[in-house]
Order: sequence, then structure tokens, then C-alpha cells
Amino acid sequence: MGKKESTKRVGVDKNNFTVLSALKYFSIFYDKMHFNFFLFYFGRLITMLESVIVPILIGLMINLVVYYQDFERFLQVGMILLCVCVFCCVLNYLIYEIYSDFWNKIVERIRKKTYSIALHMTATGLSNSNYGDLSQQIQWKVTECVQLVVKNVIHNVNNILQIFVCIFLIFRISVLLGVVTVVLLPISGYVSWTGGKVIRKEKNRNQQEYGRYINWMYEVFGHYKELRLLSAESRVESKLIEHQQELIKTDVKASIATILAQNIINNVNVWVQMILYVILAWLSVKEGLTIGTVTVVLGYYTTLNKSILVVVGDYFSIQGRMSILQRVSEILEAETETDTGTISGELQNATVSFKNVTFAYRGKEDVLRDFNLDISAGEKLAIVGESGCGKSTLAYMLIGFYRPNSGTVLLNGRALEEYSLSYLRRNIGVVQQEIFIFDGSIRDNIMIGNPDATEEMMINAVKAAGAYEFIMEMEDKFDTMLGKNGRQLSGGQKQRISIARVYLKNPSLIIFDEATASLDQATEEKILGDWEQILAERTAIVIAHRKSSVMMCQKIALMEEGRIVEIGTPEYMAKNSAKFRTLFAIGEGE
Amino acid sequence: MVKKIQYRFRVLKELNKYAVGVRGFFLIKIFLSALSIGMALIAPYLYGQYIQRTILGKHMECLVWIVGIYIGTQLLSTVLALLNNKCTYTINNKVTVAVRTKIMRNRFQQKFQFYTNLNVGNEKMIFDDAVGKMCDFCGIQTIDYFLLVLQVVTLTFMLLVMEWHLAVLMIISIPISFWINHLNGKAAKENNQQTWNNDRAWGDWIFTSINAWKEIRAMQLEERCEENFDEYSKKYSKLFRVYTRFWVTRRFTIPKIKEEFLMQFLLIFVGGVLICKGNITIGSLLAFSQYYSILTSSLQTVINTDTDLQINSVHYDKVLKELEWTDEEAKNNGYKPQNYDIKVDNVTFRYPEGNVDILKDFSLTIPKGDRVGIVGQSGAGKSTLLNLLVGVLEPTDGRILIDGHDLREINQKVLHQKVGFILQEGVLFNTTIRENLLYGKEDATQEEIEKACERACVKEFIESLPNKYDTEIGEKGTLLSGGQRQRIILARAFLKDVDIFVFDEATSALDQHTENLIQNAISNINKDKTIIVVSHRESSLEICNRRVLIE
Repeated sequence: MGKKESTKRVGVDKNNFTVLSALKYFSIFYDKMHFNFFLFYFGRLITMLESVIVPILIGLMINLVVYYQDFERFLQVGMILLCVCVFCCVLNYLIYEIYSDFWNKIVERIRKKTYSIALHMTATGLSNSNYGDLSQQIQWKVTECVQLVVKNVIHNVNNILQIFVCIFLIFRISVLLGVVTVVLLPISGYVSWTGGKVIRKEKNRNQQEYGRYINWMYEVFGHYKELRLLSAESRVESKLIEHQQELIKTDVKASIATILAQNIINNVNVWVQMILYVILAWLSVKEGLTIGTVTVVLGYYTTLNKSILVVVGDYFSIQGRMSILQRVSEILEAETETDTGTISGELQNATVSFKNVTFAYRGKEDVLRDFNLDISAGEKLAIVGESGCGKSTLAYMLIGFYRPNSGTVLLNGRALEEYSLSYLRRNIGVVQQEIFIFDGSIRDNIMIGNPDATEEMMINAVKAAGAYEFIMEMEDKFDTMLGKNGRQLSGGQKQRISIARVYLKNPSLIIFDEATASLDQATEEKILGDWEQILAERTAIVIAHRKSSVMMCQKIALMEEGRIVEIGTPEYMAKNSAKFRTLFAIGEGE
Repeated sequence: MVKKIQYRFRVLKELNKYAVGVRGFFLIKIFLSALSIGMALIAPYLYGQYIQRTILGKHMECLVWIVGIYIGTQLLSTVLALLNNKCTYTINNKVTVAVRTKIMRNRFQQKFQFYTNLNVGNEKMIFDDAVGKMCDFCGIQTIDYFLLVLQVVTLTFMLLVMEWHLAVLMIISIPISFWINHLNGKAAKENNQQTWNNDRAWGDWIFTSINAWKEIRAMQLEERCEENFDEYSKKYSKLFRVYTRFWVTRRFTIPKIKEEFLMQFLLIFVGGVLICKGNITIGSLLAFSQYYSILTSSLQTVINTDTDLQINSVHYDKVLKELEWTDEEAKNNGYKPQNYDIKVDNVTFRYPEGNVDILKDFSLTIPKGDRVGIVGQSGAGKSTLLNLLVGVLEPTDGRILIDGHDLREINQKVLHQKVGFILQEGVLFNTTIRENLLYGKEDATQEEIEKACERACVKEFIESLPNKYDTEIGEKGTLLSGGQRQRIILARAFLKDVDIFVFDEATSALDQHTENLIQNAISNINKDKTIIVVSHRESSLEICNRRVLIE
């Protein structure tokens, strides 16, 4: 936490994230995995060599039959081929056991780390991030960190090695062929590479156009009714056609580019193949090249083409992978809450005062402007005002999510910064609008408030929160499972669970932030009825839009434009404040 | 099999109705595809000839025509691919656009209740994925499918002619790899399902727990969250290990069986024996091997296409359902109102699932040109009343009359053309100001647009922007302030030239200064237009000449 805009820690140089620096950066996660990497590499090396040997064996078999008619040795070579095949099949299972082992370990480490950082990130950092994107990063994008080692190092090295081995063997067959291969291969490699680039570029452009189209469609899907009331049907129809025609236009362009690129690649490959055919034919006449050798060379040529494409493809995937890893590194570097406070222990008779507090969320207008408010011990104060006027911010400030830009907040006379965060969060209970339900039983979900509470304490809290009746109506009562595989609760039920949690926590300062907004009148009355008893000896801040909750408080403060503009007892406010009456739609004489 | 073929023809027949003018292209496409598929059979023959005549027989003169034909066919197939592509897009352009337009029309003819339970994701599925999949029918699922079946049959015949012993043996062994693949897929299914479930539950968990960070921190639940996270993570690792084993089978073992064992070892082995016996030449054997490879891959494609048909039939059925849908009680020929005198006659309303009457025996008359303010506590039924007035909701009891005609008998389209809604959160699209205004009147001229903006007191603002009417306003118009948004919506209503203006809490979220600007604009509304205002703000109701309190 601390300063809002603290200096960025020295992390990764943004423009210079290469494979090497990335490996170095993520090396803590590869700890003790190097031997596993090596084993995996070694296994892949053997299977690679197998793919080099197989064409030779096949060529040998052909020659034995066609030229020598040596059936016995033909059988022997055949058996060797079979054995090599089977051996490699088994080997693959073994090395991929090693693979899944190090994959799991590394991914577990980095996921745990990023998730933990997300949980402890500063409130400012979190409120500025996209939650969906952040979860995606934690769950999936971090796997790229292993892919970096597997694809960009291990497979890459093996593929390059394979290219050299094949070329070497072709040289052994004939120097002329070797030279021709070395000259021709880059040509088809280059054509495939540029062709691939064109295809990718067109696909990207197509994707953008599609994005525009689908965004518009989503807007329409969400507003059928409104569009109809606007009688915009024909407009939507012509827009739909227009959008699709735009899209198809880029589709056609992309597909023509793709087909052309693909066919140019194929054509060039055929020409190169034909040059090989001619040379091979010439060699067979001049030097008596055998059919077996011809099939070996043609087989290697195909392998070489494939390997080059894979190497090039990996090279391309580096850019994408690096930008993903960069995002991951940004999470790893994200600022987390720092606890500077030292006061700990038990809070009693809480008094709160805001002194000239000014606050703004990053890059936004001030929410609180020179805000002053005193709450004495045991007082019940309602804060009202239009939505977005900064009421919830007050609650978040008290539990240390945000610190004022200027001014101070005092708790029992001491500045908030002097208290440790866990102290604040243990002693101040906030009932919020957004409620978090764990996968687990109702009991688990309530005991979150105080894991040491007795059954009796829990039931009392549940009763005061008006949740007892609906829980008892359920088949498994307190053991009813909630969450994904369990029962879904209604908004109001969730809210009551959350109230029970806070009651069970037994804090000396309670903040209700729109806590009764999704409850029906009867339940609300029940909860309000218990307030007297529950809130005795406690300080309470009630942020509400409903008249009934507000009128239960001893004092009402009306907030406007980041300040308290009027304050007084409910009777006083109802009688004398026009703003208050407008807000709660109270008639003049009411 | 027969069922699937019938299904293919049924879909094709339905799509045919939307293919006016492009049917010829379909025939051309059949011809081109047949030519392409046929040409693919030339290369193996040439290869066999090359090995036999040139390498073995040392005839250099054959090399010239072998190379010539090779290059020639490759060039020709490029041309064919381009022509084929042209046909595909011409057909798709016509058919998919027509199908999507039809579905969009369906949407606008639905009853209003339809929209309340609408799932946006589902809509996207129908419009985008399902219709997109439908494109397959002009190619992959019909022409290509049948031609590939034909190719498989031809190839089988050719192989049998070349050397029937070898052909029988090789064709019998085809099912082996398919069978192993099938078994592997079946065995992996359970694991995949579990992985999928775990991943989804985990993803949801991560998202919810990050989303609820405020409560998690306030309740100090961080550690618990991490424990929960670890559980998912451990389960993922366990499943991933099993997944990898199946993956190795699919990725390495099965291709090895197919390519190395069947196509190379078995073929060369048995072929070698047959060469020794003099049944086949080496050139034919190598050609045989390439034909065999084409046969297996075509067979695989045929099977995949069939599977796709099955998987995608959910999508196809959805589209078929849309294409067959017609609105039985099209309301486009009802009474066209002239005056818009509104009369609410003893209306009672409750939601079908609710048990409380939102409105009870409510009566109200709003003659043309009336300016009425509707007040009442939130939840009293103000918005319900507005929805009833335009037919979005239907009264449980009682009637709503316009010019003395029951609302149910009125041409709704004409009615909606005459009503302008200005809501607290109006609809603005993520496009330019001009585009947004044109939703009010499709063919409005620049002059009309400017006039409407002037009346809505927003012309000066728009013209002060660097791009004027072509300014992009962001998603839901977020690049504009609330007051600017409302005035643009008002300008759109002016452009639409409505007779009834409805303001539903249109200014509640705005500060007093901005509201005054809007009140100025509202005061520009002609005296003969009806105005209905719902608001809890005193100042918004000033233009009204009477008030109705709903309780």
C-alpha cells in the first residue's frame, strides 16, 4: 500500500525481452528442473535420430529387393526397422512422463505465485486491472513460461540439429546433391516464410474487421427491445448487410492472399523437387545412383522442408510468447500491499474522524474534497447521497484499501497508518454489496467471520442476520453445500449470509455498505429489529439508499460532491433538509 | 449414413431458397472441385513412372514430359483453387447475408417478452457460429464430401487393379489405425471431461475470487483462497499427467503405426516379396504407396466430415428453426393511429411470476399535446406504466386505448415510430455521432441532422469537436458526459419526428446545471406534442401542466 504512485521496481527491460533474458528472469521457477530438462532433451534427440535412420532402412530394403534380390537380408533389415519403431513408441511414453512432471511442477509454482500476488496487489492496482484478463493470465498464460523452454530451446535445438544431420548425410551420398540442397532449401524456406507472413498479416486484418462486426452485433443483441421502440429495424438490417459485406470483402482478400501464398509455396516446392528429380536422374545415369538412395534423398528433402518450417514457426511464436511473458512478468512485478503499521491488539469503543481528507482514484476526479466527519464511540451514523458521491470510498479507506491524498483519518485518536492492516481488517467489519460465497457448506461460509466461534455464537449471528429461517428450510440446514456444485442462493440470501459473517466476527466498528439493498421489506424489518441489540456497544456506519435503514440511525449525514453538506437527527433532516427529502421522496408534510 | 445424406439434402434445399442468382456458381463449383480432386491423382503416377523409367530404365527423354506435367498440373490447380474460391465466396456472400438478415427480421417480430430472457451469448452463437458453420454446406459438407467418397471408391478400384493381393491386405489394415484412434479417443474422453470441468470451475473460482477482492481482504480470507487454489492446481496436474499419455498416443504412436508401420514397413515388406515374385514393379509399388496415402487421408476426411455434421447439427438445427420461423400474428396490418389520444382504462398488471399487483385498476387519460408528470416512490409502477403504454408489457386486466382502439389491434411499428424514449441509460452505439443519429431516421440529410441537434441544444457542442458529427463516442457513449449523451438521444428523437416524448428518469443522474441545459432543450418541443415525464426531481417536472401520483 503506502504511497499511491510508488516507483516501479526494476524488473524487465520492456523492449529487450529476449529468449535468454526471459529464461534468466523466470529461472527461479525452473529451479531443480535442469536434469529433467536434460533427460527430456536427450529422449527427443534419440527419437529425432530414429526419424533420420528410418528412410535409410527403407531405402536399403528397396535396394535389396530390386537390385540384389537378397531376401534374407531384406527380412533382417525389416525386423530392425520394426524394432526401432517399437522402441521409439515406448521411449516417447517415457520422455513424456518426464515432460508432464516438470510441466506440472513449474506451472504449479508460477500459478501459485501469480495468484498470491493478485490477492495481495494494492487496491489501486487491482481496481485498474481487468479481472477477466488477470484470471486468464494466472490460469493459462503462465504456461508459456514452460513452453519457452520446451519449444524455443529443446525442440528448436533438436530441429536445427536434425537439419544439419540430414544435410550431412546428403553430402555423404553425393557432394553435388549436397550443394544443390544447400542452395535450394533456403529458397523454398524463404518462400514458405514470406508466404506464411502474408497469410498471417491477412488473417490479422481480417480479425480486426471481424472484431468491429461482432462488437456491433453484441450491441444489437443487447438492445433488440430499444431498437424496436426506436423503430430502427430497417436501419439495423441495412447496417447488418453493410457490415457483413465489409467483412466478406476482407475475407475474400485474405482467402485470395492465402491461396496465392499457399500455391506459390507449392509451385516453388514442385520446381525445386523437379530440379532434384533431374539431378537424381542424371546421377543415376552417370554414377549409378540406386532407387533406394533416391527415396532416401527425397525423404530427407521432405523432412528438411518440415523442420525448417517448424524452426521458422517457432521463431515467429517467440514474439507472441514474449509479449505474453511480458504481461506475466508485469504481474510478478505488481506492487503488493505493504503493511507499515505497528499497532495491533483489540479495538474498543471506536471513534473515527476524517480531517480534511481529499482523495481521488487514479486518473479520476476527486471523490472526497476536504472531507470532515467525526463519529463518536457507540454512535450509529447513516451516510446518504446520490450514487457515485464517494460513500463507499469512506468504508474502503477505513480498512486500508486506499490512503488519503491529503488530510488524515484518525481511529481512536491515532492516524490510520499507525495500525497494521490485519488489525484494521479484523476489528472493522464491512458488510458489502458484492458477496463472496466459497464452495463449501453454509456453516463454512459463515464461520469465515470467526473460525473459533461456537455453534451457539454462530446460530445467534445467523438469527440476527435474518438468515435462520431460510437455512432451516433447506434439507441439509447448515451443511447445505453452496457454490458451483451446490445450491445457488438468491441475492438476498447471500446478503444475509454476509451479514451473519460480520456479526460473528464481532468487530467494534461495523460498516453497512448498501447491505440491505437486495432484501425484501419483511426481512429488512427483521434485521433492523435486531440492530438495537447487535449494535449496542458498537460504532456503526450505515450507507444506504433505503429510508427504513437510514431512519433507524441516530444521525444522518448527507454527502454531496465529496463533502458532508448537512448533518442531523432523522427527524431534523426530514423536516429541514430539502435535499434529503428529494433523495428519499418524502413529501413536504410527511 | 443414409439419414445423414438425407439431412444434407434437406439443409441444402432450405438454403437453396436464399441462393437466388448464385445457383449457377454452385454447379461451376462442383465441376471445379471434381477437376481438382481428379488432378491430385496424377502425381503418384508420374512418380512411379519417374522411378521406373528414368532411374531404373535410365530413359532421360521421359524426364521432360514428367517434369512438364508435374509443373503444368501444379499451375493449373492454382488457377482452379482461385476460381473455386471465387465461387465459394459468391455463394456465401449471397446466402449467409440473406440468412442473417432473415434471423434479424425474426428477432424484430418477436413478442416483447422474448427479449427479457434473451441470452446475448446465445444470440452470438446463432448469428455468428451457427450461420458461419452453415457455410460448410455449399462446399465441405456437400460437394467435397460426395466427391471424396467418389475418390475413395475410385482409388480402391485403382489399387485393386494395380495389385490386388497388396490392395486387399492394405485396405484390410486401414481400420486398425482408425480403431486404435477411436479407442484412444474414447479412453481419453473421461479424463478430458474432468479436465474441462476442473478448468472451468477453477477459472470461475479465480475470476470470482479476484472480483470479490474487497470482501476477501476485508474478511482476511487470502490464505483460504490460496489453499483452495492449490487444490484446483493439484487436480489439474494429476489430470494433465494422464492427458499427456493419451496425447502421446494420438500424436506419436498412432501416426507411427500409420506412416511407418503400415505405409512404409508393411507396404515395402509385402511389396518386396511381390516384386521378387514379379507381380509388381518397384515404380508401381512406390506409386501404389502414394495412392494408398491419398486413400487413407481422404477416408479420414470423409469420416471427419461426417463427425462434424453430427457435432454441428446442433447449430444447423438452430438455423433451420430460424429459417422456418414465421410470426403467426404479424402485427403489421393493425390500425394506424392518427391522433395518439391515450386512454388507460382500469388496467391491472402483475408479472406472470409475481404475486403482487404492480398496478391495480389504474385509469388515466392523456390527450394529444398533454404534458403530464408521473411521480411516485420507486417500485410504485411508473416504469411499468410506460412499458404498458407502448405494448412492451400487456395488461393483466383492463385495456389501453389509443384513439379509441385497443393497443392490441394497433400497428405496433407505426406506434413505435411516433414514440421517443429518453431513458436514464439510453442506447448509444460505439460509433460516430452521425451514425447514432441516423438510427432515428435512416435517410436524414445533413441539414435535418443539424436542425435536430440545434433543437436539442447540442449542435454547438458537436460542432466544437474536431471531427464534428464524425466523432467516435465510445462504448455506450462513454466518451461523452451524461448530459451530452442525453441531448444526443433527444436530438435523435427530434430527428425521428415523434409525436410522444417519454422521459423516464432521464435527468436523475445529472447535476443541476446539466439538467437545466436539457430542460432548455425540452422546452423546444412543439406544443402539439405529448410529453410524459417520470422523475423524482422537482425541476424536471416543471414543464408539466399536471401530475399523476402512482402508489
